[in-house]
Amino acid sequence: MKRKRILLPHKFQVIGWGLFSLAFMLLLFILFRYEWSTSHEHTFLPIVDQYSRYVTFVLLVLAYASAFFVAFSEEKQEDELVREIRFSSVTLVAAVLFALLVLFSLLAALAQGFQLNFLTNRSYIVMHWISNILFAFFLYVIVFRVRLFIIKRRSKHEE
Amino acid sequence: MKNNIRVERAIKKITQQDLADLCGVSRQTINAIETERFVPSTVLALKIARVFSKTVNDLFILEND
Repeated sequence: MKRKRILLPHKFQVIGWGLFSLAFMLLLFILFRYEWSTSHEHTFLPIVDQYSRYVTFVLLVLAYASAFFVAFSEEKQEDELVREIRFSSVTLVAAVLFALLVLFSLLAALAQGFQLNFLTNRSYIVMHWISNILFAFFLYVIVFRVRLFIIKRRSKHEE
Repeated sequence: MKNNIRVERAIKKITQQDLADLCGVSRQTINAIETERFVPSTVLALKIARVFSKTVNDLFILEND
């Protein structure tokens, strides 16, 4: 029985991890270089500094694209257990985020009612994060990877 | 849902990896089925049954809720 293929081939996952590590390290480097240069009042790597905004933007796009490759490419052996974990992870993330959204909406409403401005603002910030699609995307990647890791670890030794 | 896969595997003297290779799935999947953490699809249940020359009903036992 032939299954319709909707995920990228496994090699994209390898490419994705490589590119993501590279982009992540370069982004960290730019961040710390910036902090270092502002505290020491001089910069090194002037070319990067001049274009740092563009470099950061390109690196962010690279990080998102590579994370997409990691998230939506097949495992080495993409069988029904992996598909089940993948599907239930999406459901789990959607349910948790929706529940949190409802909870923080209530909290924001209550805080506004009692004029607790600090709590209201915090609730709105959390709600903004929860409703962000990128946050949900990264959360899905983490949940799926962790659950897959647990399954593999549990069955490490043949019983 | 309980199953006798481990017993049948012991009778046939094959490892989880052997069974996984014969069914075209990972060893983790066979392990998850044996430990009742994962219920296989009909197709996979039929493939497993074919390896042991048994029916699906011989291998999988539906429990009363």
